[in-house]
This record gives sequence, structure tokens and C-alpha cells, in this order.
Amino acid sequence: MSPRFDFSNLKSLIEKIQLKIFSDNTKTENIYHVDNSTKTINLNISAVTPTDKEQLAELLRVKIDEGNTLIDEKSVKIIEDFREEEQGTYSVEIINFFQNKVSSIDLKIIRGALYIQKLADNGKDFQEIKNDLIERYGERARNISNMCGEGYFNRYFIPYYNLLMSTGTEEEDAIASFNQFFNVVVRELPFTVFVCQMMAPKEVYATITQKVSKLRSYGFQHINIHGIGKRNMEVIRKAIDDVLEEHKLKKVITTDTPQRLSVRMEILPIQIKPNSTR
Amino acid sequence: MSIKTIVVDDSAKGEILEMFGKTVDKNGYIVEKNDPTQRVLSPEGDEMTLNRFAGITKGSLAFVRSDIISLMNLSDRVQ
Repeated sequence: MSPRFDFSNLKSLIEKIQLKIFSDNTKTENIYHVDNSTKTINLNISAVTPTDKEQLAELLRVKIDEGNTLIDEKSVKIIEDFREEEQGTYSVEIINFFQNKVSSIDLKIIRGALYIQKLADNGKDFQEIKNDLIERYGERARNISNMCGEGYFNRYFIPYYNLLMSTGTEEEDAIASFNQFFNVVVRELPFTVFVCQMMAPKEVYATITQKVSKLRSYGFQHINIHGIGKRNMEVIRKAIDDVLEEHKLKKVITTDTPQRLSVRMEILPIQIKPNSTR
Repeated sequence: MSIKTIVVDDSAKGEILEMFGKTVDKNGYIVEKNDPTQRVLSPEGDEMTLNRFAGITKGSLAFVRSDIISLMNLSDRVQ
């Protein structure tokens, strides 16, 4: 028979040190033990009798009501890591910038994207978190996250807004104009191609060709191609060689590391030949 | 700033849910023990499987999913 649970002792202990609940039905002789090195009470829930479980549930309800969160270690780690990242100078600056200029959903995506970027910069696995973001907010989240990783916040979005403000645009109009620009860039990627695993070289080539033709007609002067991973980098190199042959473009490699390739292609003006029939 | 926590090991999640009147159905979703047709929803309105269950927080006992948006929302709520 399992020993009875000494709640009064447990209650006083968890006021002072961390409670951790686990389950191991092979070691039911001790309901809990205190680990002084980690300052943790490890409580084996398998060792608690059904009657005592009711009392334990009540105790946990009270603790939750007092503001505690019953949570797994992995999630605690993510929250703490995320909070630390959000206190960094770069994140504070970016979040403050976007705060009153984009929707609350976009702001959430941006916060998630900054965290993903931090994980990537530190060589940590970010794919699950990125998948979470995309699962909830779709392509918009994928694009914002990719743009964040490629430095678009500082290269395009902030300068665009600053330009509006420096030309004397009223703040309200500048925000409206910025919001329009942000939405188009995020939704349509007009001057960007993110190469992913599903894209074959022919598709990358076709996408670049189509975008270059549109950009040229608007007088826009460059297009960016980005890829992460060996396979995508090879696809970009192959597609670019083909594009350069057929269009009047100038290749500028902006990032070329073993993991990441970014190419900026300047769209040079095409000189129209005089009409010989005239 | 750290959040005030009671840590639950993955091994104890099933028993914790039972203690709070929930169970896991044959598809792996967390449901009400007294009405297994009723799936438990996160504060974001999402159903969740046991392996996506992160924990329980204040707010009429809110069951938290372990995806990044749910954890960001939890982080904002428990500042």
C-alpha cells in the first residue's frame, strides 16, 4: 500500500522551492523527494493514492489560481528563451517600430520571426517553431519570417517609413502608406524569391523571369534571390546562370556562406533600338 | 523575469489531465472525461493532442497548447 501523503509538509515546501511532478510506477515507495542541488521537490504522481490525488488536484488548483502555471520543462524553456530574446536591443527596436504600424497578428508573427532568427543565428533548431507560425498564419508568416532572416526590416521596411517621414508626410498618412507597402511586399514578394525545397530550377528560373519583367516595367532596379541549404543554393546558382544569359542583369552576391546564399540582381535598363522603318 | 511554475514531466501529463477531469480519446485529443465528444480547447480556440499539451494556467483553468503563438500569449498573460 502506498504511503499517505503529507500535504501540510508539501504545502510549506512548495512555498519555498520548485515543485516538479513526474510519473514512475516502478518506484512508488517514495511519493516525493527533495533534491537540494536543484532546489526541487520531485513528486511521483504514480505513488499518490486516488484519495490523495483529489487533495493534490485541489492544491494545484489553488496554486494555479495564485498565478502559478503548471507547465512542461520544454515550454518553460521556450518562454524564458523567448523573453530573453525580446529584451535584446535589436528586438526592442524592431518591435517598437512595428508596434503601431501593422496589425496585431502581423506583430505577433514579427515577434515569432525575431525569435526564429535568434535561434538560427545561434545555430539552434528553429524548424518546429517556424512550422508552428506557418501552421497558424500561413504563407504570410513564412514570408515575414524569411524576410526577417534576410534583414528586410532594416533594409526595406524601416528605411521606407523613414523616407516618408523625412519628406514631410503626416504620421497618419505615412503609417497608412507604410501599411500598404508592407502588405504588398509580404503578400506578393514583388522583388524577392525565396527558394524552397519544393522549387525545381525551372520554377525558380520562371519566377525570376516573370518578376524581372514586371519590375523592369515599373522601373524597379533589383531583385533578391535567397536560399538556405546546399540543395537550394545549387538551384539558385543554376537558375541565375540561365537568367543572366537571357536578361540584362548584373549579379551581386550579398551572402555566400556554407548554409546560405543571397543574390541581388541589378536590373539594368534596356536601350530601345531606333525604329528602322521610320 | 521567470514565470511562476509547477513543472510537469511528460510522463505525468496523462495523470495530471485525469486529475483535472480530462482524458485522451482514441485519436489522441484531450477531451472532457464526462463527455468524450467534447474536445478541450486552448485559449486560442485550438483543440490539442496530448503531445501538444504544454500545461494549465490561470483563467478558469486554461489548457495551454505547446505551439509558439500559444506560448507567446501565455508569456504575455503571466508578465
